[in-house]
Order: sequence, then C-alpha cells, then structure tokens
Amino acid sequence: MVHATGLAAQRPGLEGVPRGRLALWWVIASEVVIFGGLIASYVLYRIRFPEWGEFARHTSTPLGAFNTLVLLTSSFTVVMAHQAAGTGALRAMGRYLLATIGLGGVFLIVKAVEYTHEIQAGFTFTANLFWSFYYTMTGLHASHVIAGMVALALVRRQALRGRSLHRVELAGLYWHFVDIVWIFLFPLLYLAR
Amino acid sequence: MSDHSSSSQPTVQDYHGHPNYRLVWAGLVVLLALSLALGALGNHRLAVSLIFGLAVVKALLVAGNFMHLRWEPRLVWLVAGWGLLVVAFFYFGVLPDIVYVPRQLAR
Repeated sequence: MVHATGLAAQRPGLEGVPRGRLALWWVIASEVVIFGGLIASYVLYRIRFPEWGEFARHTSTPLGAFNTLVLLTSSFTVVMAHQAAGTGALRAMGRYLLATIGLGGVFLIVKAVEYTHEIQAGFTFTANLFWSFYYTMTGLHASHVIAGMVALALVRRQALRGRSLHRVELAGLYWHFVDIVWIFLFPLLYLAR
Repeated sequence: MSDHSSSSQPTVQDYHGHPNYRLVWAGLVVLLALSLALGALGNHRLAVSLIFGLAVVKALLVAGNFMHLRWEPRLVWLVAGWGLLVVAFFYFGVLPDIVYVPRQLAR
C-alpha cells in the first residue's frame, strides 16, 4: 500500500517542511556555491578579456540549444513522475522516470559529440583559459547529469514497488537544479559572443 | 488514467500545488526560442543583457513551478538564498583582483 511506505513516510521537519526535502535544499544551496563560484569567475574573466567572445564562436549553438531543449523536457518529465507518484500511478511514474533518464543520456551523447569536434579542432582543455573554463564547467555539469541519472534509476527501482515514493520528488529537485545550471551555462558559453 | 484502482485519490496531502506543467514547459521552450532569436539583434550589449534576463526568467519558472518553490515557506527560501549570497560575496570580493589588475597579471 502506497500510504504505508510511500509519500506519507515523509517526516515533518522545521516549519512543516519534510526533512528529506529540506535536506535536499541544503544540498542544492551548497551546489549553488560550487557552480556559482565557477560561473562568477568566468563572468569576471569575460569582462576582463572581451576577446574570449571569439573563442565562444567555436562552440556549437545548434547543439547547445538542442541540449537545452532536452534538459527542459527532462525537467518536465521528472515533475510529471512526481505528480504520478502522488496519485499512486506507479506505471506512469516509471515511464516518466525512464524518459528522464533517457533524455539525460541524449544530453550526454550530444555533449560527447561536441567534445569530439572541439578536441579534433585543437580546442583542448589546455588550449587557453576560455577552454579550461568551458571543459571544467560543462564537465562538472555532465558529472552531475550522470549522478542524477543514477539517482533516478535507483529511486525508480524502489518506487515501482511502492516504496519511498517521496524520493521521486527529492531526486527530481536535484534534477531540476542540474537543469537550472545548464540554463545559465548555455548563454554564457554559446550565445554571448 | 491511473494504473491502480485504489489510486483515484492523492495518497498524501502535500502543501504545494501542481500547476499546469505542460504550460510551464511550453513557456520555457518559447523563451529558449526567443533567446536564440535575440542573437540576431544588431546591438550586441542589449542582446546579451536580454538573453541573460530570459535565462533568469527560465530559472525562476523551473524553480517556482517544477521545484514548487512558490509554495515553500520562508525557511526554504532562506536555505536556497544563502548559496546565492555566498556567491555574491565571492563575486564582489574577487572582482577587483581580476577586473582592475593589469591584463598580464590577470592571465
């Protein structure tokens, strides 16, 4: 029964916020510091060296835009999984989670294609500071996408049995954060030239 | 359609609502298309400003609706906001060391 082991298993914390959700927001806040520090450093260097706009011309806007669409859609599918979990529609939830994991895979494949083209053109990690920032920021982001996919797969396995359904929301919160990071990386690295 | 006959009612009363997620997603896609179109603007500075403005709107749409931040109490806003505060301290603390030093030292 869903009630016994699922969403209702969430324990209330401060101000009525479930403990797991509050803990996840703390994780997100610490991730904001990590990505925010990197992005802030990049922005400062872009201000100092406007010529970096020329390097940004070598990133692929169509592929970057496609990946943005992929991540925005994956945020939609994961929140639909959360909604389905709330109504006990476990099979629908499983399908939405699978779609989210699949979209994460598509994102990584496209990123790998981009990396391949860029490295073949000589734009490696050590080419200059712009490309160091590029690979650090997108690589760190990609590692978060992989971590999110693993988390979603583990949560899905349990949730399909009606266990720990609240974790669908928690994994989803993390996934949305990864999406928000990309929302800022895309204009920084692809559009601002 | 539900997969379980006993699941016609929500199994838990959560305090956040479920907005029309399809509408939010469609709005995000429209904003993405708008960001790409802005690249064609002649005024580069204006285009970059608008593109980053749209990025903030997209982030707020995701955080507010998909992450349900709209419904969260002040405590969650404070937790989420402290990270941004630390980043702001970092940005303005490091700014003189990068932006206002000779170029050869900044490299």
